[in-house]
Amino acid sequence: MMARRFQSRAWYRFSAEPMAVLGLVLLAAITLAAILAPFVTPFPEHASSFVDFRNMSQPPSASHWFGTDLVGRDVLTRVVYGYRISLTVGIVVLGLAVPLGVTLGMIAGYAGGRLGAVIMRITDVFLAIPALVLAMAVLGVLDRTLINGLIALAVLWWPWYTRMVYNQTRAIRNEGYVVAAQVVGASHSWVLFGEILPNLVPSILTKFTLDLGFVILVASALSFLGLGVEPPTPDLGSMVAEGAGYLPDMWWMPVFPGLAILLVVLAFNLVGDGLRSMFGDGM
Amino acid sequence: MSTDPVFSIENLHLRIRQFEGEAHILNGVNLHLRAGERVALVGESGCGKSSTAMMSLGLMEARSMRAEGRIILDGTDLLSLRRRGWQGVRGRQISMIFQDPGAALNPVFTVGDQLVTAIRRGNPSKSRSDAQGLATDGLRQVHINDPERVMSSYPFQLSGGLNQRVLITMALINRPKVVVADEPGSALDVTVQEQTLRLMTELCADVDAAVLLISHNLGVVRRFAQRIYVMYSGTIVEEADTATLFSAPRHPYTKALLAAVPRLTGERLPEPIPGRVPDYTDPPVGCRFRPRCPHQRSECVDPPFAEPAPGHRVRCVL
Amino acid sequence: MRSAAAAYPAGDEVLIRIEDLWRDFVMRSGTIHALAGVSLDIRRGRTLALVGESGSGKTTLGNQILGTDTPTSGRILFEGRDMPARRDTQMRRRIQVVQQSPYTTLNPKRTVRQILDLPLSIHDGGPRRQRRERIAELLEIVGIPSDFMERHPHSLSGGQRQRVALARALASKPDVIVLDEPTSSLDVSVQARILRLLVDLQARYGLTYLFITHDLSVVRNIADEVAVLYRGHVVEHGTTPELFRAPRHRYTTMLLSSIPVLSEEEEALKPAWDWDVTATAAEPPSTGTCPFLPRCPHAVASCSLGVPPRVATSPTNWHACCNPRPEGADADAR
Repeated sequence: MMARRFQSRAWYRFSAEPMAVLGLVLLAAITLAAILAPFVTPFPEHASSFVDFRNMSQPPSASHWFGTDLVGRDVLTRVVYGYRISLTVGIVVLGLAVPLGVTLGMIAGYAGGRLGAVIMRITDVFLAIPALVLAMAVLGVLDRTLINGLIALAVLWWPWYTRMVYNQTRAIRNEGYVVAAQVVGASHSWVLFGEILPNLVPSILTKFTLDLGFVILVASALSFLGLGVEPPTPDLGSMVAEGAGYLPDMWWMPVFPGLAILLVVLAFNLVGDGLRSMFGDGM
Repeated sequence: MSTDPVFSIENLHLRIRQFEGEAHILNGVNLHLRAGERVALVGESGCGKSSTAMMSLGLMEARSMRAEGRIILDGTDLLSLRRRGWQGVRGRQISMIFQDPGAALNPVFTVGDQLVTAIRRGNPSKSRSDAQGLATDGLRQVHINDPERVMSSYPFQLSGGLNQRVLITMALINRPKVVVADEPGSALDVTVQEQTLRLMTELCADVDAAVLLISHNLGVVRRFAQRIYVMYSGTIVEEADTATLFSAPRHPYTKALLAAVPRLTGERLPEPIPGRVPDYTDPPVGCRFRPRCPHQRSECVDPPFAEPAPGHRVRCVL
Repeated sequence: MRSAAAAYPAGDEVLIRIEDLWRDFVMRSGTIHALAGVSLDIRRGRTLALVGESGSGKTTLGNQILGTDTPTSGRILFEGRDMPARRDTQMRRRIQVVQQSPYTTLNPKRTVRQILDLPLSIHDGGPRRQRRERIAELLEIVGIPSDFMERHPHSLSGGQRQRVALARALASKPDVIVLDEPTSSLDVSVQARILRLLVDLQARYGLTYLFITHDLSVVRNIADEVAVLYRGHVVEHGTTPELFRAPRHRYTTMLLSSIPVLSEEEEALKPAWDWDVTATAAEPPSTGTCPFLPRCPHAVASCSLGVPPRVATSPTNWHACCNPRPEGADADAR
């Protein structure tokens, strides 16, 4: 009963931000379209190696709303399928980076002293290297496959969580309930995962949501530079890169995938801001 | 001392829309201060005393807020002022002393800078060096022996007691007619609190400023004020001069509050008040203390203000 | 309080002995002695109040007893045996805490049941069902309805949160509870209820309290003994009625005279103090003198010669003042 009451209060605060609700609607639409891509796209077969030279490079029309590309594939279909890759990339990258970053940050913040200092200096080193440079370096060493791309992005992302969680843990570790748990004789791992972690969830979730958008953006940038997904898999970043060569005549080829990236990043940001005001400004 | 009030709050209502519904925070508050008078508004947390203070300085801002009534300072209705209108009033005619001096002073400016800014905000024609002289004198008045050192210090370099003195100086430097003091010194120690109250009494008499002391501590209120308003759940339930309130309280809430304070005589443990403060979104009709009152009866639905003695007013049928 | 002591045959048994305890904090500006050679006895079944202003070291001392901080030097003996720097589970069980802030003492993300289950699961509270029964029992003891079990702290009032914190402290059946300003964030009407509960519990379970507070009126009503701390030194110690009736150390005198009271009757119980000659003094005292020297209007030459030694004024009370307030000073000072 109380839990439901709390949830509805949270929703009351979230829904007080119309832009956040808009973001949520956009996100729901994008996610649904991506999951149901084979059923909602006009030409599901265009998602892979498909060639139809009779319809190549068509401008937007009633049958092809976003036009067609150089080999006659429907751009709308490929944008929706591109979302599948984008969302997967975002979730997999953060699924690797967040647990690692959060655990290290909690340990460093709670233990303090020499161990904390060592963890945070390593974190600082990673933070000091520009993100794209780091990712390109990783991809330079490893084969340019999707999996390695994801690893590169995860390597790039965990330090941000370590830094954030470290600061918050430092603030929380002297809270009354943490001290009380220690006095009662609770183990370190209980204090970390039972007392501290639940209180970090709101800010982690908020950052996670905001970051999903950024990861998608960076993944697209890597693809744009030719360091991402291999053709013919539809990927928004590579579509923009490919299409950019045919501007301005065949503008629909880069513009629609570009707008698609913009839309999903925007949606994640709106939802993230909404979460932030819902959880209070505890960032 | 003139008898006309310099500051008065008339039938002040405050409603705020929340998730739970509309909270009726202030329910017809009436109070007044005569020039140079020391008055206290006392009550427990959440009774609306701080909201009253914030409203008096126009510091309460919320989109979903609705205020009715009048707050009159020297003939001007403060409630009708917009942001611009406040500029000539706040800090000049009415000022505030906050609870926690550490939080009320800006850590990135020296004490001297902050005092000079306050003086020149109230009096733009003053030159910087004049203002500096005034600030030094002000600090001497609060018994700071080395004002030059304090002026060039940052707030975090000074003790809580010194910062409290700086805040008092700042509040009084432009000789306001009214000072609202929200639990001054309660964030500090009893010895510092005692010194703070002494200083405020002395200085407010010097500049003839009326003080509205907001406090939950009956001992502090008795120590400082000449007249007291007791507030419960957004309503003034009793008003009397200090001696009368402590020797012959009339309202059951005032009596219960007095019995709840531990005594230095150490004879017995204090008496708790049964029940809880009512919900502001759905308060009891009439007297809001009724559900907790040992003397409740049917007339409590609309209690009148009784006046058992001149100046002693009680909102109770008893 | 007396009844609690009577429940124990050996009412004056020393449960915790603190011997020459020091705690130094090394800061950029120099070393601060938060505790500068504190020696005190805490008697079983009694309440010892630690009073003093913020920065006097009273919370630091509480932390040493709790084992959440380690002293720089000195010893703490529990039942005559040295307490180790790393407390084992058994030792943890025996000393518990109730903290000042009702808003941070309970984890906002956990339910009342989960909060109370933690000490029970650590200190062998038996299987789940048995623990649940014990939680219901604990809630009843502190006067919280048992249907609050699945609630989160945010739906509890300040007083209710402190009751839950008290139930958590009681869960491990401790001997000692460190009460660190347990009522100072509460309204007086709620405070009165918690104080009564504390007194009841002490009588019922023979608990020993270390009551840390700055509210001297509360101390007068709840403590058997008082230790007055000033900048890491115990400057006066003794039984409550005697210390309040005849404070000897000048700092104790100043402290007692600043208590805001509600009646002339109480006013008459306060010692006199001349505020006009009292410095606010931000200057830290140089080590090796009376800690109160910079603020004291009654200082004499011997005050700066060294930390004043203890002077016993009765079998139970002592002070450390070179120029103490004369006994029975009230009459001539007024």
